Amino acid sequence: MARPRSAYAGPACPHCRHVLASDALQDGDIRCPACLTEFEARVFHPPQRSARVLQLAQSGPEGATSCANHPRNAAVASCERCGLLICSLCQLDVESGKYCPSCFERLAQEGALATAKNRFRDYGSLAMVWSIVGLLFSFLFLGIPLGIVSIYYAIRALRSRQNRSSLIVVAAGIFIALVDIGLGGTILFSMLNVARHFP
Amino acid sequence: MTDAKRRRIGSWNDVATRQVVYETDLGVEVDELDHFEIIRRRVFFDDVLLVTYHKEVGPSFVVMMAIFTAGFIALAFVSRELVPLASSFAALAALTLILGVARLMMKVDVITIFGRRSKAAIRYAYRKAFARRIFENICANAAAAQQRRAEELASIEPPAPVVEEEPPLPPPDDVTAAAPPPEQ
Repeated sequence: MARPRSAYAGPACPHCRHVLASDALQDGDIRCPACLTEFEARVFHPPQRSARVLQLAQSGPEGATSCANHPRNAAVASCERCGLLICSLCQLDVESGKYCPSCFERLAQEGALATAKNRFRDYGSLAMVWSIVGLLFSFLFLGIPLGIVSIYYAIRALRSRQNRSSLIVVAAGIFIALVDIGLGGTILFSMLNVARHFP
Repeated sequence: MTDAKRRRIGSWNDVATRQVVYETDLGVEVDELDHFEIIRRRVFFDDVLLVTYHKEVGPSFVVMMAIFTAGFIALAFVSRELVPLASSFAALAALTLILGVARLMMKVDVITIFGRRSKAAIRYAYRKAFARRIFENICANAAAAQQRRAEELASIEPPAPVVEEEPPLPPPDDVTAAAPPPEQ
């Protein structure tokens, strides 16, 4: 389970996390007023979009429809999921689609929007762990099934793009899984041979 | 955002967390490995407010190395009758001592990126020149992305409505002239 995080409060001292006032930020060396740690800083002023919302009163009498959430604002689009008429305040452009805030929230929760997804299964580590477990318990004939399971996870890891970094782990997982299967097969084969000779 | 064009720029492991940091065209992604789940945080370049660079010791590592050194020295002392075993423990103690002293001398270079809604930290224990290069690279990328964003916004947003200037008020002398003369 993830550790609880404190709420992010903007630029702070990188050492003691004391929140820095915006007027204290400057390019160059800064000394934290709380812990006196000196650090080098580069300050940026990201451009902000000033929301100019078309009001219903400004849009003219013909064809003007109000936003479902803001009755005073004129609708400029409809949500691609629920069809709700939305103003430019509500309109969320995600992956070449226009969504209302509630649909965006739901799609993000369902994991339907790739750009809004922030939790992934680490199939590379799963492959590695199951292959090692299979190796440890191969004497109980678990090498073959767990080897197959870990190869399945390794294939999933190779297919999912976010796990590309763990290519070495995946390769090691596949190798150990093949050893599992080989070892399990050898044990099984020898057991069957013994059973055949001693009925 | 989560695409093939990710470049691994750093990783950090400690007792509680394992983090891998990637750079993409749009920003920085921090993958925190939590058992078999990856939790991803992103800081977009056009959202960056502040990028900092500083050095820290990381006291937990030094304390841990000190404990290990003391433990191995104790084990070497206890097993001094068995020379090969004692010398193995002494070698391990020397190794942990060197690691601790190296950390005290070299420190850890930390790059912290503060965005509007999130932040990311990248730590480098040994690659100092690489850390400096990454810091400069992130700053350059953030500046370029914000410049591009400003140009986009300037082209998208309609110009502010022109407010017609009101006709100037008459000068105060004229006002007194226009006023009716006081009754005598």
